[in-house]
Amino acid sequence: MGIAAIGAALAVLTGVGAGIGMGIATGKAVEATGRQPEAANQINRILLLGLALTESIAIYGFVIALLIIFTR
Amino acid sequence: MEGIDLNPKVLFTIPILGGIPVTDAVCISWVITVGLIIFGFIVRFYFFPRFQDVPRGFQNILEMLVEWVYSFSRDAVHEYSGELAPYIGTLVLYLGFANTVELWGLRPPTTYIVITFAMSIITFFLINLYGIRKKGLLGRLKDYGKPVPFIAPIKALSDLAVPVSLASRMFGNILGGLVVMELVRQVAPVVAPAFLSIYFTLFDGLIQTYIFVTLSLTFIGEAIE
Repeated sequence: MGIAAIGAALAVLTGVGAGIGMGIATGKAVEATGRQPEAANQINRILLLGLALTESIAIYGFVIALLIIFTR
Repeated sequence: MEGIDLNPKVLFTIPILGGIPVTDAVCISWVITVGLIIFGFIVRFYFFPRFQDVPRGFQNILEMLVEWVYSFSRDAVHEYSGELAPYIGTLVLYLGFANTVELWGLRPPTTYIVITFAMSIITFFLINLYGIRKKGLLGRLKDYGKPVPFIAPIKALSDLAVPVSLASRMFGNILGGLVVMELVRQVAPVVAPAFLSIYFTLFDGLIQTYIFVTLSLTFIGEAIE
């Protein structure tokens, strides 16, 4: 299980990029809401869609880590 | 380990055609499906005769759901929304309950990648079906060479990545929620799971349903474009 653990740990590093991207996106969404509060509903919807899509990059890393650990 | 297996467990075997194994994912899907069918019968035979012209209460919720599905389909798929909207509504209902069935003690069937991959193969089939129907087989193949002709292999690869990404996204999110809730139940089994599962099970499951349905419609709309 030795080298597989290191492989799985490297695979989950994709979360770094996803985290940075989602942080920047949320910051821009908050800024846009501050500038135009009437559009808050639209911005909320677009933000949720964008966040779920970016989060899937981190999920790909998680799935690869599971595959590494649990299949021979 | 906590005993979370990535492969479905075979519960029994139907003894026709050489033995068809029935797994626990299929059995839980049956439970959800039977629940939805019973709900459909109750709505049809008990609530329909009592519908009023100005909706209120439960009829309001039903009408809002149906109108949302139809307007959503019309935005994405313009002409074929009459055919696709019932399938999208079924997807919303089934996936919404399949992701959140953990609240009732069962393991969600979408934590097995075979189930999510089956749903995304249906979406892949629909994308190609509507693309060929709208543009013909030759038109759809010509779509692959749209801006510059030598981009065709890259476009084909990204088209093949669509069902894989749809399946992995839902599988990864729901399995992540399941693992976190199992760990919380082992550490603090009394009050903490009730509050944490509002986020990890309910919110995450419903958001993943919405994302799956939105992306399916978007890809079908792109193929019709």
